[in-house]
Amino acid sequence: MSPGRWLRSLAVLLGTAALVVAAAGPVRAAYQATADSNTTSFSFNCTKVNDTYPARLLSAALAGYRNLGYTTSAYSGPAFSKDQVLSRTLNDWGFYVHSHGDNYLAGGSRDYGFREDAGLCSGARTILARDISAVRLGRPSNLVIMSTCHLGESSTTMPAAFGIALTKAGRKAWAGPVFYLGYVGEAWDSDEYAFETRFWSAIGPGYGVGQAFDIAKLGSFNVGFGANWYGSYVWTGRAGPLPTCPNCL
Amino acid sequence: MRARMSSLERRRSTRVAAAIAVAATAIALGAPGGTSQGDAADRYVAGGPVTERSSVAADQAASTLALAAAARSRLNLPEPAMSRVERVVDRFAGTTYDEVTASDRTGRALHLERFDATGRLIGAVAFGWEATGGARLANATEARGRGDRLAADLGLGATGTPDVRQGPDDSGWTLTWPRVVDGVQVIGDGVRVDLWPDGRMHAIVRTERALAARPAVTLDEASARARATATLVTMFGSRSGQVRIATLGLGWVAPNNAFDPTGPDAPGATLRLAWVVEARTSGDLANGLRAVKLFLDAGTGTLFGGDVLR
Repeated sequence: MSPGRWLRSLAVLLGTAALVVAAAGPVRAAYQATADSNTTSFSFNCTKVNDTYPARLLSAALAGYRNLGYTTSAYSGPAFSKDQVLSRTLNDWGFYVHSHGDNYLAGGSRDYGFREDAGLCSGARTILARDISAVRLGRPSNLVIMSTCHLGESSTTMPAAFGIALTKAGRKAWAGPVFYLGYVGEAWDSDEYAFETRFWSAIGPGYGVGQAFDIAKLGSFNVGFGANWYGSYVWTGRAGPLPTCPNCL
Repeated sequence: MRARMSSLERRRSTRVAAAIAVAATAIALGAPGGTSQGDAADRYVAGGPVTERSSVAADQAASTLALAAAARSRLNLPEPAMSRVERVVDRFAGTTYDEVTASDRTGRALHLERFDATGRLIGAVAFGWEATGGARLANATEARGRGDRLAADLGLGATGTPDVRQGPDDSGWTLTWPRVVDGVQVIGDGVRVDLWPDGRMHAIVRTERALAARPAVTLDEASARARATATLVTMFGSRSGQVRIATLGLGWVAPNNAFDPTGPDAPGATLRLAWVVEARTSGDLANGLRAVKLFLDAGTGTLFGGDVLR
């Protein structure tokens, strides 16, 4: 084969590969996500029975983030600690946590946060929004899910810690490739599990995160269960700084 | 001829090599793959797909589309450019329904409606975020009035007084009519209507799951409380002093494996009558666990599921 034909073949090959990459969306770079779940505080080590929801929620989240192109690592038990969360958060484009969440009184003022696992039956530390803000310093994120009580309330400070404004950009608006999901008031694990399984499953061709949120609501829940979101309704949820939804905008 | 065959073989080999190279590049760089519908097992497994979708026969599709058109008209939803009908198996809930997805000319989903095997509307949602619209519902009373009319107009079978809550960020209202059978609440069942702030429909869900036979004899409340207390002592051991029964009552509940990691990942599809016990925590236990629910068989007092509030 002449050098010219080789070059043409190589060009065709590279061009085809580029098309495949473009069709797949900008997920090739290692867009890191962290999924944490508190499995210890209601486990056989601390009580006489295991709560199975945290592990199941973590499995669902892990699969969900990976399907969206994030390079995802899961942490539970002693590995899910305040130090671990804060050491990874700067590089997290996606973050998921299932734990105890609240608007905690700490250092004389209140702030929204959640508790680490750290393998502790009691005495687990809180990780506050301001702790995360101090590390991220406004760095943007993509998909943040707080599978806890309270962190989806209107006054929550957690979205801002991940660079997400407390706005809902609807169908004809755009707040960037960001979505924050949290729950209002007290949320039972069974409701979070039912909601999140449907949310993860609904994301796909033609359905972005906002539509997945709406579909997830079509489940069976305890009276009073409430989920909330901030960010862009039309976004695909896929990792990276660019919008990737062909049916959006 | 032989030379031509060699040339064809070379070209074919080149194409195969190129295809393999492209595929390898795609795999190495993370092009999306995913689980095909045929890979799905019968039971939901955490992290797996919830639904299995298939096409429906033409006559069935036509009747379902007619139902969707009627519902769309009553709900004042926009006319779609195209509609798609699918049979959906929900492996998490253990149900099957027909779903109509309405889209605009660009293929963007506008709304969907779900119908059970008898043609009843069991779900609907208007996609999008439309906080701005007409005049806002002034208060919970107005929201209830609007919800009552909508539920009656759609024949949702909503009875009794609904629970009415305003959504966060002035995002609308949620009205819930729990299902009650012979005076006992069916937990999670009933009718729920989400309204936009101006009273338009955002979402509707009607859930009516199968109920098992009532036990021949039902434990009395005192016996149920004693059984619940003993179960909590077993569960919490030396920390049981930090757990207190807050409420106890009969309810129809879906059996689950909240405390059994070897059981299925989805709740049971047939509900059982239970003494539902909610126990709240205190002290340092409350730092990680707010409350726990026990589902005790109404006839035997055996634990067959529960819930956890972190």
